[in-house]
Amino acid sequence: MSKMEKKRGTILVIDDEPDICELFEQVLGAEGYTVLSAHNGLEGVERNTEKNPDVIILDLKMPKMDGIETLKAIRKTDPAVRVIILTGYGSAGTIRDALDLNVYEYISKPFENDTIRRVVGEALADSGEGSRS
Amino acid sequence: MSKEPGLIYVPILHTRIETREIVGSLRGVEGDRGVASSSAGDDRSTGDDRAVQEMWTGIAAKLNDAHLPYERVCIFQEAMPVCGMEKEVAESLAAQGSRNHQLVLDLIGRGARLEGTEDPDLLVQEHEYLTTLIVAGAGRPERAAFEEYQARSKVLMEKRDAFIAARIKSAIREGELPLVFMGVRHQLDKQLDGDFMITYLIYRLPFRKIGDIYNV
Repeated sequence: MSKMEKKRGTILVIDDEPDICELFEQVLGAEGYTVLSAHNGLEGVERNTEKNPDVIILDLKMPKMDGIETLKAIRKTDPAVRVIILTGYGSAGTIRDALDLNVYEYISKPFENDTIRRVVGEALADSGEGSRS
Repeated sequence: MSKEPGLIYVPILHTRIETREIVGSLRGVEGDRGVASSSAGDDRSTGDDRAVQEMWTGIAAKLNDAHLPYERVCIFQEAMPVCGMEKEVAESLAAQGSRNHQLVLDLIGRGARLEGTEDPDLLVQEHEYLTTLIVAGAGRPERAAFEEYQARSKVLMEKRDAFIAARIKSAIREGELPLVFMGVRHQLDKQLDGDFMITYLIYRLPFRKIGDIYNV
């Protein structure tokens, strides 16, 4: 991919499973996005502050600091970043939490790579309320 | 191993136009007097609608993969009044294009049965909140009208959820599996916890594509 074709956009993946982070680096990196990874909630909060990504892909089930706690911490300083929740353990309660925390989309695992590509593209393109750009 | 009976809970979102049609079905209100008339137009062909259509395609595929014993499945549907004409209501909404109700009819065709789910009087109150605050709220800022609607509707939702939970517990027959399609703002899960082992069926929930979420 040439520089001209390179898409603008930085994606931060927060997931305790290294394989998932690696998958996103491959799938979204091939689309031209810059993909960063964090392997726990605390690291995710720090990387968001440091790198100011356009979109966060956030796992819900993580040890110590789960996805909702992580997002609450992120929202204290960053109300605008677009967040896509990705979980294999969805529930009505976490869906309500996600709504209250201004989540862009909530996706269940397992997922198709095409779905993720499309939703990330939509989140970046969406210039609606709460978006960074 | 839990002794609680199983229950499949499908959190759902409706497009603005679906909300309008459901609200219209509650009182025979004409379709063009609904929620969307206060703001954006018909979203049937927009990206917002496409995301919701994809949500329903994904839910249908997941249900298909689950191979449920449909002759023992009982469907409970948000905004479906206990009225004795539940299937006709579903048919009417399906004919207007509701993927939700098209799926319900498909499942009925496979052997599932549909139960009335909500207290009609409470649904009429919800309808009144929507029409008063959203449609008749002309002249007020749309955001303020929506926030007032949500505040009033939250109290009503607690009553609706209590009715739905009691309805599920009383209407379900021995050996049946409840399949519950319920909007994302409901807190029905809290009222079912302890009585049922809840399994969630989720594909994708495109919150921001929908925008404001109404409680029908």
